[in-house]
Amino acid sequence: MTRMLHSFADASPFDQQVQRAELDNVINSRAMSMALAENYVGAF
Amino acid sequence: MRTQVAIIGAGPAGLLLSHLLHLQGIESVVLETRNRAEIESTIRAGVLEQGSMDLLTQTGVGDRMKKEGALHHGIELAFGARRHRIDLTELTGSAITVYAQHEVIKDLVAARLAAQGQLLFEVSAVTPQNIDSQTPSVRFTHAGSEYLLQADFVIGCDGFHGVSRPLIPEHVRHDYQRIYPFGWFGILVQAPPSSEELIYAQHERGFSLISTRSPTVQRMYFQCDPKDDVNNWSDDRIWNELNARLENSDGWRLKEGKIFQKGIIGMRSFVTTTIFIKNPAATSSMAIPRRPSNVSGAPNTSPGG
Repeated sequence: MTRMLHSFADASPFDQQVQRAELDNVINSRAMSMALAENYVGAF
Repeated sequence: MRTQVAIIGAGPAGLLLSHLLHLQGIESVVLETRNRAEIESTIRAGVLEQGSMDLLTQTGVGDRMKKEGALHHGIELAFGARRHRIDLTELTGSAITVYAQHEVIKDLVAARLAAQGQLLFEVSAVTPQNIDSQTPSVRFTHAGSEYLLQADFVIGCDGFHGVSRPLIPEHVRHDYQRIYPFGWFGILVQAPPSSEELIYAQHERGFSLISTRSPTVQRMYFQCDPKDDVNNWSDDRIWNELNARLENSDGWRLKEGKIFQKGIIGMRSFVTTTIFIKNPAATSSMAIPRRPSNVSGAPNTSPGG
């Protein structure tokens, strides 16, 4: 979550697009949502 | 002075350990350099994960958490001017509770004192001794007198800056850390909640987090330069920055209010390994509970502040 949500001064435009794609994946993919949710509630 | 387990540090780890040991009939003494009022009011993390909620409840110290804490079944991710809900409970069967760390500390201190637990506040010159021998001990000063506390185990729950961690010999100790090139600017606000659930927002201006403390007090953060000075940030500038980062197309607005606390928190992820050393011929040991953390003490995986 840290990497996906913060802005990094040295991020290239490519990096920024990857970050946005990851966010899109998290909300559109049940597997990605579940991985984030499991991490967030401390499931493992 | 003698006990079974000497615990250095009355944070959540040290106090909970003392409580769990007590439930197993094991005696301990907790040593804390600060006073009770300080540890019960220092603002730290604000979110409890499911495992912590369960443990507090199962061991009889979860009543106030259940009554005063707010159970959250989801979070929101905001980016691209839209908000998206992650349904934690539907996805995992688990949830989180918004309940500040210092409230957990109040509950644990009360439970330990009610059970005649030994908590010594305002101790100084805390020095673990002979930790790799059969007779470990902790030397400390309390109310002007020097004491030697002998124990079967010495447990270091005094965190990143404490005296315990450096005592693990360097040849077996491995520190893993990342220091982030940003900090979190945190504010406490007198206002009603802006959202029923926490909002984690990504924006080209930087990350922000809309969290809550109670129906009347809100906790908000935004990514900042860790070397910035809070005096550079007027209330107006803070609200402008948060509103810019939370711009959206669904008509949602941040509820503003009186800002009564501002601070900048450095961010670090840190793990140390080899947390248990033992004399091969003895039952005595020294251990440091392992927990990745950032500078603020917030859980690394859910910076829910």
